[in-house]
Amino acid sequence: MPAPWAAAAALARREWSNTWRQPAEWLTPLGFVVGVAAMFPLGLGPEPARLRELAPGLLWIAALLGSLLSLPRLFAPDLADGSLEQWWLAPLPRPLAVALKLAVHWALGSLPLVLVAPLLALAFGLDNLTPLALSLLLGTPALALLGGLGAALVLHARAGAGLLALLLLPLQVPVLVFGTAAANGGANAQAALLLLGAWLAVLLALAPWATSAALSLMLD
Amino acid sequence: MPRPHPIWRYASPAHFLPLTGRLLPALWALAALGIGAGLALGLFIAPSDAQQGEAYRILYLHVPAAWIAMVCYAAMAFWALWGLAWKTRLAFVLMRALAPTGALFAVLTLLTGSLWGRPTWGAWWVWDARLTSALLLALLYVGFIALTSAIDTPDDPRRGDQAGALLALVGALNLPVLYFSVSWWNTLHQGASITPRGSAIAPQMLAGLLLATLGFWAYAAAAVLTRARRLLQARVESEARWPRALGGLA
Amino acid sequence: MTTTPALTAPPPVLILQRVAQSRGGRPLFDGVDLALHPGQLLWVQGANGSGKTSLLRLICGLSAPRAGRVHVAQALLYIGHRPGLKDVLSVIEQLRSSAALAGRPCSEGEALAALAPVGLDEAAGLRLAQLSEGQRRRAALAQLWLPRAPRLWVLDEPLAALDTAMADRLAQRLDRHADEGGSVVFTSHQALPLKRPVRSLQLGWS
Repeated sequence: MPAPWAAAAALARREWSNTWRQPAEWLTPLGFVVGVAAMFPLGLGPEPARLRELAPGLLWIAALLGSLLSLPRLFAPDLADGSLEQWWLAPLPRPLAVALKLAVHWALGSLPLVLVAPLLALAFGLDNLTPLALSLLLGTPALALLGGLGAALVLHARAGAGLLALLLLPLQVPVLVFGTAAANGGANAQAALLLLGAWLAVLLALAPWATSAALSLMLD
Repeated sequence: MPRPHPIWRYASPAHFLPLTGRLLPALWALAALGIGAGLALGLFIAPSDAQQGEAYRILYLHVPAAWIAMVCYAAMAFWALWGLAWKTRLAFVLMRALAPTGALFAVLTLLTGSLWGRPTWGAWWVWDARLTSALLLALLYVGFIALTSAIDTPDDPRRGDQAGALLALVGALNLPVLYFSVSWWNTLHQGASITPRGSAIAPQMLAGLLLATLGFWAYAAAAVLTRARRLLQARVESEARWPRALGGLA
Repeated sequence: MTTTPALTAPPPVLILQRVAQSRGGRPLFDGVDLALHPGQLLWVQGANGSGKTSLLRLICGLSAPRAGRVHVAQALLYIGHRPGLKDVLSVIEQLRSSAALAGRPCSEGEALAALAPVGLDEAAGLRLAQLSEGQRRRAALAQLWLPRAPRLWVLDEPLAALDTAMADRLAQRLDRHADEGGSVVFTSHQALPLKRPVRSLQLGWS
């Protein structure tokens, strides 16, 4: 097996094992989103019509906040135990290494959300679940790509998830706007979904490269 | 080896500090005159607006503040790119010096926007495209200041410079998309909008606006350069404290 | 500066030209010139904080020098002070993962064969979290006994947490590597029981 493929497979496998064998890493965002989703009726009142109207937006915000939770531990443990340096020296283009890491992180952390959020939407009285599911399917990778960049920038900062949230919120607004518009269905949903998809494509091209540039500087 | 362009010498403290030292008194004077004259014209002499009465006068502050907040961020991103590419100390110093002033004017934009909205729309805030974007710009500034201060250690600004520069650049690249998405969001939900109406502007109003704008620009430049001088001097002193490595080999 | 005359004929595997480095704003070293040839062992010495780890990271390409140039002829094997051990992986998984990540995947048989000299072949299935610190360090070093190892080895504090017997085996392995034409750059606070001559590079203030 040629060296880059072996390295890529090893990176992906190591990330998967590392995350999968620490259930707290991927169960926590899921539990958080379910918990926050339960807070909304408690805070806003259980009136079905209002909940149904607000559900797509509320669930999207819950998903966005949930995606922020696992970010501080995305690169920091690797920096601390030297793994970051190992895959930095691997015969693998660094943006690809970053993209692989984010892909595994998304698959274990956010993909369950994409599957569970529609179930929560049922609890909020939504009938048509497809727009929500589709918007989250395209939106959570975008959030993950931006999140990776944020996580790289705060590697040497003496701060926690709060700083990360502050940095990422303005950057994630486009994803939120397009995502919720797509989730709400109706006339604008298709346009919103296209915009979301286009933005995801741009982020897929640029974010791993920017994140690896950030990691280079942080490793220096 | 080709001689570098003479303008590069201003990157060194030895040239930057005297140059700005000479510029600053002129800038402060210009600021005082511009703001004083502009506000005098705008607040007292210009006639009241046909539709909005006295309330529109807040625009003499709001419009310059919004412009300065945006341009400061663009300048921050410019110096961030310069610093990452050419690694000059001054570029990062200017980037850092711009942030607090930009943040101040961003907050001023929000406050004046709110003050204008209250008598006009009856609400202290409306979630229209421009005000929401201004709020997000203020958040971008706060994020930059928070990040750099969380990374900085007393003697090594390098990591803070690099992370801050990347953040500023990413934020700047994101701004068009951000503004587009917020505008699009606004049209979706048919929100209220604050835009100065396009009817005829009296000459005193225009003169007042121009003078105030000039004055605020001069103030912003003066504030940024003063802070830049202070930061640059602090860095030079901190570098002088370490002994130079003597050969380093036995 | 070198303590033995430079060898002729084989081209150097590592060249440092007037390299300077700083850390946290503080200058570490300046004007380091070095050419390392095949078969040579280089011991980088210096007090704590003198920049030994920074020099090794420069050689690996993890940091850029503040001045000067670093030329490395080919791929290298780097085992750092923190060697990237994941607690949830088993010993053999960690070894095979590190090897594959470096572009040199190995089979399970080869991995077990490499674990034998470090005394971990019985513990191959245990998770790293279950091992002692000394055993973890040995697991990290097992890479040195894998086949197809690159010519240049860069080791940061390889003796840390090792007992005398293991230190001897490590020294034997390094000697054998140099005999076969490989080179090693290492830092250590104690001397390694090596048989071959060792060049020395001292970092610090004069």
